[in-house]
Amino acid sequence: MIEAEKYIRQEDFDQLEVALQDYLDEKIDHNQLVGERLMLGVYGQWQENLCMVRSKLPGGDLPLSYLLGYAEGLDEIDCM
Amino acid sequence: MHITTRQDIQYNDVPLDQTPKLLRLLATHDITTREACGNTVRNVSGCPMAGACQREHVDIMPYVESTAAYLVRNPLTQSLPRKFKITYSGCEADCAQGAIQDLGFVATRNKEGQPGFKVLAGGGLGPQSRQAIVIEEFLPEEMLLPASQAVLAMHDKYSDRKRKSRSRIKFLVERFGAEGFIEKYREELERTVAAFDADLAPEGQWRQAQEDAAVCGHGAPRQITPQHQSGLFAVPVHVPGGDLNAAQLRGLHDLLTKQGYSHLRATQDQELIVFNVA
Repeated sequence: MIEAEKYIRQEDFDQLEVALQDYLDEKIDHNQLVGERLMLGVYGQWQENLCMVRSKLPGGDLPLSYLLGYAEGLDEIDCM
Repeated sequence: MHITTRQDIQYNDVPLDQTPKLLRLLATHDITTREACGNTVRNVSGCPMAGACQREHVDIMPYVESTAAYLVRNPLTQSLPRKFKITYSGCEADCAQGAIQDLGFVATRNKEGQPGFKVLAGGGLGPQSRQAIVIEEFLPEEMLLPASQAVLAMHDKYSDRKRKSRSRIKFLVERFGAEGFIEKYREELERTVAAFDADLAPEGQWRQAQEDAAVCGHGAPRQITPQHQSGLFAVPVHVPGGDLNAAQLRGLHDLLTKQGYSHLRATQDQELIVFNVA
């Protein structure tokens, strides 16, 4: 199981949210947004405005509690 | 959900404007996406049977976890020329496929029986596939993190930042030749060892490997497999295409939790394994 405090910081998400809004408001270009999102495991798909979101599991270690998190994500997000 | 060949789990087809919401939701379950894409140190992978394999010299998971934690948010890894892939194998069978990674550590013992790792670098697939070269025949465990830093420093310093398709460690082996590559690695290593805080070095629990046991092979075992812990077995869970839906995720969680299990493992061939089944 990862040391959560090392990997997870709320300011990462705040920063992504700001960059995303700036991009939607056309204040920054696509390349600037790409730099922000890739560091957080968000990869662009060829389909416009759709993304792959990758979670990191060192050595494949998968605590069972994560399964509920992934399922909740599927419920909450309108994956196309 | 999709299990990947680097033992990650990912979503596809997420609308861009919903990505911050998804990351925040995953974080509430301690799930991270930090440095999972882009020019970063990708998920550190390991053998499917780590911690249970009869042939392993050591459970490589403490090294995997230490390496991943040491390199995430590390200043050296925040603006790499290109992605960088690391793997650990628990014995010479190299089930974690170090030969095709940027950096691979393979647990072994030297002639005196001391525990350590063979170190491979510069392997990779793709259009110009290349088998890794051996840069250390034997490296004590306390040197693993400085050695990782040394190869990363070479990547940072010498890899081609203009031509993305040529910017992997295998192209440095091609550029410098094996001997030249090792010479440059040793120059970097001298510096990284001197600067390394030895308290951060991971320590494994080494055991007497059962060398006549069957090699479990790349990816995951396809059958119920005896562990080195007497009377316990690893049970593979077949995941067609590596894909799982919400009902399957919850079903697995409920079934295994009721049986007293707390963890699964995602494997390099996109399957799952349950360990310690009596």
